[in-house]
Amino acid sequence: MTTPSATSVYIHFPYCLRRCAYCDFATTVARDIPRDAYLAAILAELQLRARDLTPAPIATVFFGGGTPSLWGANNVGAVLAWLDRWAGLPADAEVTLEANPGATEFSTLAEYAAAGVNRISVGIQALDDRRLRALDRVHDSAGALGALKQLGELLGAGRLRSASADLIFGAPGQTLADLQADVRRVLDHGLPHLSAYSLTVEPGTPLHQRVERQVQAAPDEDLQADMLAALPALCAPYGLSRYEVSNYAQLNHTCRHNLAYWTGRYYLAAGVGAHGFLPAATPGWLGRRYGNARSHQKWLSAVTRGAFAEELSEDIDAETHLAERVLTGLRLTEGLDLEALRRDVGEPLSQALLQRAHKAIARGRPLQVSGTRICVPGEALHLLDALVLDLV
Amino acid sequence: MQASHIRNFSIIAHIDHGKSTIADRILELTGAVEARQMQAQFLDSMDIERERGITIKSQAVRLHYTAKNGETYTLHLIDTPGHVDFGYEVSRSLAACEGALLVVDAAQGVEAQTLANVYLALDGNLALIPVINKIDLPSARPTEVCEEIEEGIGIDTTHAVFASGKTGLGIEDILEAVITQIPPPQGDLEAPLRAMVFDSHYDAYRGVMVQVRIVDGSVKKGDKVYFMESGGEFEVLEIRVRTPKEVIVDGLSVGEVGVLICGIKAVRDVAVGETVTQAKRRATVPLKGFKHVQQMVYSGIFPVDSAEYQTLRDAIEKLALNDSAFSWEPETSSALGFGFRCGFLGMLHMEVFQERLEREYNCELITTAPSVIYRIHKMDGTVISLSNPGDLPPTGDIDEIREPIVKATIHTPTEYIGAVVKLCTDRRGAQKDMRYMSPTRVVLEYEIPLAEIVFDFFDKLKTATRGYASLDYEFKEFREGDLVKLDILLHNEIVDALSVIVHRDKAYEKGKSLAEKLRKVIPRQQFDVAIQAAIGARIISRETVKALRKDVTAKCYGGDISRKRKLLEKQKAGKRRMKQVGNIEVPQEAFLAVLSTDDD
Repeated sequence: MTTPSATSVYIHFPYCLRRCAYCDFATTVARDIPRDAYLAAILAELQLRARDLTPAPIATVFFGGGTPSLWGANNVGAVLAWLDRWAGLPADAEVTLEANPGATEFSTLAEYAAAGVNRISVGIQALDDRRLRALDRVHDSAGALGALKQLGELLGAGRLRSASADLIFGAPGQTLADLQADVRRVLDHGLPHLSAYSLTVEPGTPLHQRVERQVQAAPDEDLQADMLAALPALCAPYGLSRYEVSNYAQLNHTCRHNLAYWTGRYYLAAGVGAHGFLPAATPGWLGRRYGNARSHQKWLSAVTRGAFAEELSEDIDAETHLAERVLTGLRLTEGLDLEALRRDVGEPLSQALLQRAHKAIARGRPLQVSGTRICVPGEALHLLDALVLDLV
Repeated sequence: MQASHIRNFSIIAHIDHGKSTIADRILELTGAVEARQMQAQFLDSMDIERERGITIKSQAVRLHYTAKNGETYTLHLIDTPGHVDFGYEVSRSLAACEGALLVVDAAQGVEAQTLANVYLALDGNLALIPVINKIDLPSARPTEVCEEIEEGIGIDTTHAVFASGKTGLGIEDILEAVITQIPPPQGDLEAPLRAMVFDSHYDAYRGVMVQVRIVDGSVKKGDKVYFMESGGEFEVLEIRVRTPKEVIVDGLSVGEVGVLICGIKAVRDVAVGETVTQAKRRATVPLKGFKHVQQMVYSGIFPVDSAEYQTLRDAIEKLALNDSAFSWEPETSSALGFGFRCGFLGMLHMEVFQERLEREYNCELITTAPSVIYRIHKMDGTVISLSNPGDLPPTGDIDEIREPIVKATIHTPTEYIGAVVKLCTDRRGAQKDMRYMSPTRVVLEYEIPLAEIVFDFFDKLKTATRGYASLDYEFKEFREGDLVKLDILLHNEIVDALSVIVHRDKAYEKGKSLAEKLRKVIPRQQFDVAIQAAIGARIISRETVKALRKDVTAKCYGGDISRKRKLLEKQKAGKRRMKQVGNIEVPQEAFLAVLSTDDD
């Protein structure tokens, strides 16, 4: 028997030029970003975590943020080189970098591609200057279009294997026609992947405060529902189909890294506020989830001392993992693989889940059980959260 | 202890006039509790009592006091509840005493419950010692308050004690007054035992703890005793007194107060107010009891999860063991399933009981809107009593519906008379009397349907008078009213647990506001939910909860699956607090929406 290992790696780069109104990720707005110090700290944490892991060839790497395109291609390359030395980074591994338009002054997208990144996900969010300003984005629509053009060229030249853009929909003032225009202008550049998120007011964000103080309208849920329903048809002409609640891709262009999250795989994570899922250190558990400190000073000072800075450490038992698998697995249009689930959590728990699914179906809930999969049909994905409650 | 050296007394006061603080100081001064062990409201042992600043259960405590005349006395201090709901408990405690301290706040003056409690005490021929409390307050007006007591209640205040529970001022004077002004117990030590049961509570290890006051004779450990009303015969296994630490004593004789432990299983096996005598040498005439408890408000209590029925039943049974003022019986609702119909002394009693079920027994409850008891005179000449609107017979069978009317006494500063009169008139009250206690304070007497005041009348009264008015009420009679049943339909089905009985003149307005309120509290579901209010077959209002269009998290927080899972657990807990009525998920608060009468 082989020791299970993490074949996905997440690296968080928290620094941004400006904080976006809706963002509740671990971010730090900084004028002078400590790019080199941050690399040293990331490598220190990776080394520390690698001690307890059996290396296995890495399948996916994801540089998320924050704005990792502010880090510099040399630093990103250094992390990849370290991973390759530690566990092996095969040529077919998916290496994604999140980039923001107008935040590539230290390295061009082409330079990142040259450093080993083969998939770039660019935060477009909107192609309308007024809406971009309302979201506090640092770029304007011209900058966004420039970034899309570059991506199209890199893809065409074979210097990137895949690319994606993020859009945010349902901000007050946006119409269905606006969304249609945004999607077209993005996909016209030949991108094989799109993430389209409905604007969500998360507690603790500037947006939340503005909505609370009534200086900004709350998103209209009915309109967001219409937009969510319209998106598959908007993407279809470009060959993109929905594979997750908010994600659309051409064949073979799904994000394998995110799929690892959603199918319960282990992943190693490093950086400020990064969340990882690793094999359990103690027998009897399925794994351990950890979350690093969200404060960059706290994290930096710990890892440079050779210590972890975890704010969350949670041993995951089979039952808890089952709930995780249901709530992530049903987000996928292909649904939850019961066979894989049975291997991970055991027969009784997976059988009980199947029974709950049949009961929910009998009550008229829009679920399907076909073969070894439970899934929510596309036309019912907009009510997913309520459905999940019936199953856990 | 010789009866001549015993004094039994209670403290009666309007709520917040400082009764518990005075008791605390007395405990300190007599050395019963050392200052360092002292915690505020020492005699209030329940968390809820301390949190809400109220006394719910009576407590008797034995103290020793060496008076200025050099003699040492045994004092039994019997604490009483102050809230209007618990007037019944007050009367029980007073039955065990020869006297009472009448504590009146030096700033607030005489209030409705001061008066109500005084009447209870006078009924029982108790000696009253007026104590003007909180005289350290800048707003204290002790002379005026004494005038109020003399003119409004007719009690001599020559020997009134000025005191401050906060600073301890006057506490010794109070104890001296207890010795000199309250008569010692008068009883015949040689006569057959007659002991008055004035309270009882349940202890998980010892069974029922019977609180008694010995009137004649004596009792000791090992005696066989006979309960004259319930007819049970038991052996006295142990006798305890609180000092306030519980200590075991050999026996009790004339005038003494203590707890008999007889291995009795349930509180209902002992009637509060009954007389205990010796099984071998029985007394012939029982003591005059006191009026039996009357529940004023009824409400359905159901488990949110039907599978928790037995758990809820066990919890109610356990709490009921300790609460002889509470009544309950099984009830079935087509909307809520199996549950219980419970009777309470008032709204506070109900809230406290429900809170204890939730807190101490972790029960998840759905409570239906409280209702009073109605008397239904049927066409066939029979009369039925009911508190559940769902039990109402078909309209054709009903000759008339009678509702309970209470006599409400309201004390208010004169400047708020207009506001109080308006409130009472809105609530179908009829003014019976208005008299001045002093140039600035007035007493209003109303006859008013109980149903109009049990819910939020007291709050409204307080708001209308900036907190200055006080209220007391007592049952008067059942009287015919033009009453109708208002039904609520969800998806065209009557939800029995949401039906209410209302006055015809208010039915339309009530139906409209109820439907609106339900629209606000029922969450959007996966389909449109129609809410209708109806009287008989006539729909008087209609609202719709629009179907939920979107319920999905946009982004799964990257790799932070824990966060999403915790969110899910929270939603799950929220869902558990919903009741499935047909296909519709109805939150707990919907069943109480009937309560609030405002449009807010």
